Order: sequence, then C-alpha cells, then structure tokens
Amino acid sequence: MNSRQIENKLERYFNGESSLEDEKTLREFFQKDDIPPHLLSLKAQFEYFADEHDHEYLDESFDEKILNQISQEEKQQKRGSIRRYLYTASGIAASILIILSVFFKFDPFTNKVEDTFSDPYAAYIETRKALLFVSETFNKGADPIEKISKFDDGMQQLSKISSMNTGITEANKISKFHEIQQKFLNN
Amino acid sequence: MTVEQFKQDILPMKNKLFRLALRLLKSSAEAEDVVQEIFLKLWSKRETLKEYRSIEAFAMTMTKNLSLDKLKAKSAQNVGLEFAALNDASDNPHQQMDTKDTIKKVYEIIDELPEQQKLIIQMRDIENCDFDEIAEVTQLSLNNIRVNLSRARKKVRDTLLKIQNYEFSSN
Repeated sequence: MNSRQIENKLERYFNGESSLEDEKTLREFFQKDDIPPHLLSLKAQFEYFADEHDHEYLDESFDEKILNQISQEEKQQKRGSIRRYLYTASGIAASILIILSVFFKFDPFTNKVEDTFSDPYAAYIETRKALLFVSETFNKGADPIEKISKFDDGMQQLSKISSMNTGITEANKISKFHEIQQKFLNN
Repeated sequence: MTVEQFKQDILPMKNKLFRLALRLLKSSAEAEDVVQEIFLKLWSKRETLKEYRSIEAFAMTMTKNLSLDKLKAKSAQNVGLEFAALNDASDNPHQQMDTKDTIKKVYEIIDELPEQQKLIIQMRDIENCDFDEIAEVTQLSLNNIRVNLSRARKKVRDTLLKIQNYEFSSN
C-alpha cells in the first residue's frame, strides 16, 4: 500500500467516513517500523487502539466465577420450585379431601359411635371391665360420705330439746292466769 | 440455552464489556462488578436473548447504562481520587516520552473526551463495531455518530501532536 492511499484513508478516517476495512488497514500500517516521518505522530494513536483491542483483562477465573454463581442460582431456583410443588400438592390433597367428605356426607361433628368389637363376648368382657372400674372408683369416692353418720349422733343430742316442750306446756298455764285477770278487771 | 452454550456464546464478550465499563468507570474493580452483574442478567434472560437482533449490542447497551448509573452514584459521593492518581504519574516534561508513554497518553486523552465521544471512539476504534451497533447503544443518528467520531479522532491526533512538538522544542 503506497503512501498516497494511506493518506487518502487517513483523511476519511479523521472525517469519520472510513470503513472498518480501511481502519484495519491503517492499524496494520502503523504497526510497521518504516513509517514516513510526517505520519509518525499518528503511530501511538493506532497502536493504542490495536493494543487495547487485544487487552484481555479478564481470564478463565472470571468465567468460573460466573458459572459458579449461575449454578448456585439454579440450585436455589430448583429448591424453590420443589417447595412450590409441595405447596400445590398439599393444597390439591386438602381440596380433594373436602370434596370427598361432602360427597360421602362425612361430618366430623356428629361422629357416631361405631362397633369396635366383632365378637359379642369380647365386647361383654370389656364392658364389664369398664363398669367394674367405674364402680371401684365410685366406691373410693363414697368412703368420705360415711362421715355423714356422725351427723346422726348430733341429731340425737338435739332430741333433748323435746323435753323443753314439756316445760313450755307448763308455761301455757300462765295464760290461764291472764284470762282470769281479764275477767276480774271487766267485773 | 444451556450453561455450556452460555459459556460458548455469551461469556467470550467479557473483555469487550469489561473494556467498555473500564473506559467509563476508570476502576477495574467496579468494571468487573458491572460485567459480572451483566452476565447474571443475561443468564436470567437467556430464553429471550434470541429475540434481540444483536446480543452483543444488547449487552453493550446494558453495560453502558449500568456503568453510567454507577458513575452518577459515584459523582454524587464526589470521589475523584483514582482519576487524580492516573494524571500524576505521567507528566514529567524533562524526560522524553518513549513510545510506551505516548501510547499511555492516548488513554488519557480519550479519558478527557466528552462521554458520548469517549463511548463512540471506544466502540469504533477499539472494539471495531459497525455503525448500526453504535447507533443501537448510543441512540444517535448515523450522521451524529460520524461527527462525534471525527471530533474524537481529531482531538486525539491534535493533542498528541502538541505533546510531541513540545517534546521536540524542549530538547
């Protein structure tokens, strides 16, 4: 490439009209050592562009860092989706249970007692056991009630009050004295 | 999209996105944070990525937006220390600049450009993006992009020339 062609491309370059191809040619031209003196001041400019274009600031360790973060994020998302799945599944199960209970007229509030024994004799034994247990505990509870008999003793003492009655009938005779007194006063 | 496909098709953009974020943020740590965040966003959108005309333009747009958001938050906190440190190291007028220093100087010149020009010269001259892609990321018309690109390129050229003339005249 002769100097005139280069200068032509440079003019277009500084007017912002050069193509990518032109610019590549210019960068390659300024990489060389035999640059005409009047163009030498431009060498640094094009060299800087070429250097910076190839400057790899980030290496493989950056890739690893990003890929690690991505896989961690994926794991978290998976864990989240399992949880979400469990929520949905238990929700569906609960709804099915409600629908079924309506369908079979299942009412937990008026739960009827069902037979738990198929053999009537075994049921009899169990019932007897239960009733014996009830009577035993009932008797235990009845023991203190015996103390009530002492109340009877007290009542017998109180019967002596009846002798007071006889005294009072005697005192009634005083009223007769009062009657006589009235008659006397009237006369 | 599987992890393997993501690794093969999407992750190789990492350096392109990083260079863009670094251009805007001027901090490697922050640029890496941005690029990391962009890849996680791309992964979460992996099923709809095919709908975009250019995944690369989409990723660059996200990187640009997130970087500018961070930059706004940073300027609100008024942190300019990294920037100051970069300028200090280079200016030494008594020593002739070698090629390496001059190349470094280009970074600083681009860094001083207005945001729009910075973004466009980064995408075109470093990443070699076509104008459609640049239009998508910057939301500018083709003509506007050309004007900004021309200004940015000339600014780099003229500043370098000035520095080199100063070097010659002082020696």
